[in-house]
Amino acid sequence: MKFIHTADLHLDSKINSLTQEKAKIRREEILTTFEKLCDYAENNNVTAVIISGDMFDSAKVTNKTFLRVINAIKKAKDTDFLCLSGNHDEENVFYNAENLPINLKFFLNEWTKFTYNNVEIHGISFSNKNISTYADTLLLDKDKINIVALHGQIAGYNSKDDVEVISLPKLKNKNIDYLALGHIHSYDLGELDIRGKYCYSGCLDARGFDELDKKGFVLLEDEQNKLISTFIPFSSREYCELDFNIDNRKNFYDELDAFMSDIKAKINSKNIVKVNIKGEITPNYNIDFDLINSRLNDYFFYSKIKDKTTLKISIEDYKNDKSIVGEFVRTVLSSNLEKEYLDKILLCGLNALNKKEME
Amino acid sequence: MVITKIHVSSFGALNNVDFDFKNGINTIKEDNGFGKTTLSVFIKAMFYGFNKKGRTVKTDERKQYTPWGSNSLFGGYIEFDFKGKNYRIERFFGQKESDDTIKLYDTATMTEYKGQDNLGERLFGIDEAGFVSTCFLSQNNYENSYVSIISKFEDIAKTNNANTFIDAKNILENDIKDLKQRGEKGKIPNTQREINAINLELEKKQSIEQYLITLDKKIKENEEKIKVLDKEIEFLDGKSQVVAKTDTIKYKKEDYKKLLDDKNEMLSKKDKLYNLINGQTIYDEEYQQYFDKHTEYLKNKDAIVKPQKQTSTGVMIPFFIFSFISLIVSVVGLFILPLLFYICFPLTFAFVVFGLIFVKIYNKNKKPEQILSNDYKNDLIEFLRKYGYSENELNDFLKILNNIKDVSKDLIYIKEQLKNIEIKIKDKENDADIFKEISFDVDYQSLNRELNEKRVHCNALREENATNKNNIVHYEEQLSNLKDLESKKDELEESLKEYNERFDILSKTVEFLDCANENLKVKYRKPLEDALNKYLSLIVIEKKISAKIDTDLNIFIEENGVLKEADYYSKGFQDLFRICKSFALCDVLFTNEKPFVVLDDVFTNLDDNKLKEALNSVKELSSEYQILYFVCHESRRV
Repeated sequence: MKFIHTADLHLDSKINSLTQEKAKIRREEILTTFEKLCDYAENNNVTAVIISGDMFDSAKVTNKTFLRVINAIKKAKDTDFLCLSGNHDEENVFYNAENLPINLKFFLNEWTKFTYNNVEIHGISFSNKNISTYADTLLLDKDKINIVALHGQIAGYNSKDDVEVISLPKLKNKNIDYLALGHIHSYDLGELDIRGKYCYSGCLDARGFDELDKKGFVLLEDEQNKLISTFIPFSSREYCELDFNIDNRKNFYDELDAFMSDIKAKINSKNIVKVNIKGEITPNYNIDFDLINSRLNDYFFYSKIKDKTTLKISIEDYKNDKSIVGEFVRTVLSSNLEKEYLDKILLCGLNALNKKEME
Repeated sequence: MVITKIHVSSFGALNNVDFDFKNGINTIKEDNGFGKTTLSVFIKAMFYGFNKKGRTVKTDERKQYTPWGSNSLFGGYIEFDFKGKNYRIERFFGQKESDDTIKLYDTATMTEYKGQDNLGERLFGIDEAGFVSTCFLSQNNYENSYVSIISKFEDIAKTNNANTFIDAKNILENDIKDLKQRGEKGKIPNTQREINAINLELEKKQSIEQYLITLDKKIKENEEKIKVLDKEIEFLDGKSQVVAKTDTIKYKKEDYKKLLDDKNEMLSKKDKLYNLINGQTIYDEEYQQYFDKHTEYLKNKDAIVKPQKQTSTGVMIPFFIFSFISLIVSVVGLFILPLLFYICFPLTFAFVVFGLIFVKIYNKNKKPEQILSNDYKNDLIEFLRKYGYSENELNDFLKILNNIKDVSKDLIYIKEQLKNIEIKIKDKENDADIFKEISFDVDYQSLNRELNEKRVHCNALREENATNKNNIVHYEEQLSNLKDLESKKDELEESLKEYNERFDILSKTVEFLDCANENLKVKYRKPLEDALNKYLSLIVIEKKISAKIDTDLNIFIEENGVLKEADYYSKGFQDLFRICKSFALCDVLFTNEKPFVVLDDVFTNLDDNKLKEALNSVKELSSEYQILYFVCHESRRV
């Protein structure tokens, strides 16, 4: 038997870091990825898809999204979709809907079990009432393969909102074979106890530069009474962040050409790229940021750059400079500002002072 | 720098005059109207050209110094020593700047240097206003401009680049203005406005979401209502159909009644037929058998034997006799009396014809008498005997039977009809129960009205739902656009953050640049102040004066421990302070190559004592500077 573990689809959510037009495209793509997941399940005889919370971004989704989701689930008629609510969709659109597909099932606010031969899938949607007792009330048959679905943050991650914290020690030695978690958007597999593993599948498709690396789902296969888990990359595009280190001893245009050929070899043009421009730059070294931007945007679906260069400057060089330039450098360097801030002021002032000289 | 020679071809009142100068003091003592001030303007114009500020003759130097009545170029040349070489500037002016010519030669080789724009600025490292304020002292130029002199302090170590500070500051301030300037202009307020506008739009998001929920709810409510209405309509529709049916049943009932009536009529007809058979009661079966038999007989034509048809010969005999007699008479008449033949012969034929016609009519009117066959007759007699009829009565019975033969067809028809009616009645019997059940007083019209109202209501709800669904599509589209707008807002906020950071960096840079500039000014203030005090002690002998100068070149005189602005002093003192400041500036500004200094009758406000001291000091100063001293009165000659 095969199972899919996915979570944090955040269908219909706003998309960060893109232009209005590209955000629209991206939102559509994320919905399409879910439809493709349903097709995958259907074509690969997947018994059940476990969605460990945050399928939707909010309580309300557009009718179009809702209908497409329902249709995709209906189409994959031989696969069960087991849905857990997350912190974003505690009251999701399914709850008041009628005529839902029979293969769409829900984990309730009490332990809910779905049995597929020797595999039992348990899950509980968190509420104020069950949060303190859920671990105690979890009773599993040791002779079965037990999958447990939860949505929250396992202790150890930095909690950034009021999401429920899952204490792993409380879930140890409970006969769990696979703890299918949702909430953290990156894939993370770890040991729970001697018997079981915990796993965040990560989100299915990325929505911003805070969701770097590969996104997809976890395929679980039941072989000889054991569960084998494999991460399957499935996102339509990836968000990538990388550095462009400029050596100011070399010609800028050569450096840019070399960087572009390197990045083109490494990263698919359909991806979304953020490039940090780095390097120790002397005041008279001219970096054409507009050109970098245009080269990147010509190649990638979307790109942005961040200037993180530092200024290579020595107070010694200006020690005997009696001009305004020397005086300016001395004045700035004698202040107690942070290096990064100071560099920016120096670069800005020197650029202005040098402009006249260059003319 | 030392001016060695001046040649004025034509300039204002001066025309074709030459002056040779030496190092040290060069006094030109001429009466008013000679053109001393014109000469000083000529010197300035040779290096800097005409200033472009004025528009009137008084302020527009070009107009003021164009020779009277001349349309041709005017000007001349100056030869000067500079950094060990002698040069010659040749400049001629036209009506407008584009007509002007300028040439610079190395006088030793007479090599011409090309591109001599801003020659004065490049030579002295200071602009025209600064140069005039420092090296040109006259009664007229009290309104000195020290802006470029102050900036000169900053660039003192950088030759040929006097305005670096000002330019750099301008660049930064333009960048700042680009981001933010008065009147809420610039990228930062614009972006902020755009974000505010988006926020305003996004405020709609919640109400749209709320509205969508309301629409959803309304649709569901309507669907519930539609469900109920559909059931009611279905019920009413059924009822209506039943009511419609009762109308049919009504008709059917009438039909049924009519059938029963028909049946009774047929039966009475049948009875009448029975009565025809002599009032005898004949059992139906027998009667039937008889009729069947009789009918069979009649069909087979065995029952009745038709008699031989009587010829009409007998009837024809008299006609034959008469025709025969006529024939005889006509034959006799042929021989005896031809007239008789002509009369009787046609009569012969006439009799024959009349006879034939008569026979025809006779036969027609006479019905042949039918004769029963023996078998049938015997059969009948036997049948009649059963009912007590005698053989003699057979003829009467046959008469009746003849009648029966006529009505037998009717009887067969009636029988058929009765059979049909019986079937129909049997059919209707199924409805007979319904006839009893249904009350025929249901108000079909009001029922239909109610049904119609419910249908209209139901359709209205369906239409409302369709509209609401369309609205949902519309508002969801809006909601989706708002989500995209949120992305745009993020983008703008990111830009705004960058702009604010940039603004902060630029503002801070300007602060540091100003600070550096102040530092530089302070650095040059002290030497300037020292130089000022040096010249004050040289020129103002009558009392010991200690002066201070700020970075904006304002002079303060210290008296009894109190600093007083120079303006508090007399005109004469003020002139002296100014002269001292000019020389002090020259000291500090021109460290390598000292410029010449033009003093155009600057001591007119001095009393005798001060004048004497001033003239002595000019002598002393001429050891350091070439001084071109213009004076109109012998008493002020050095």
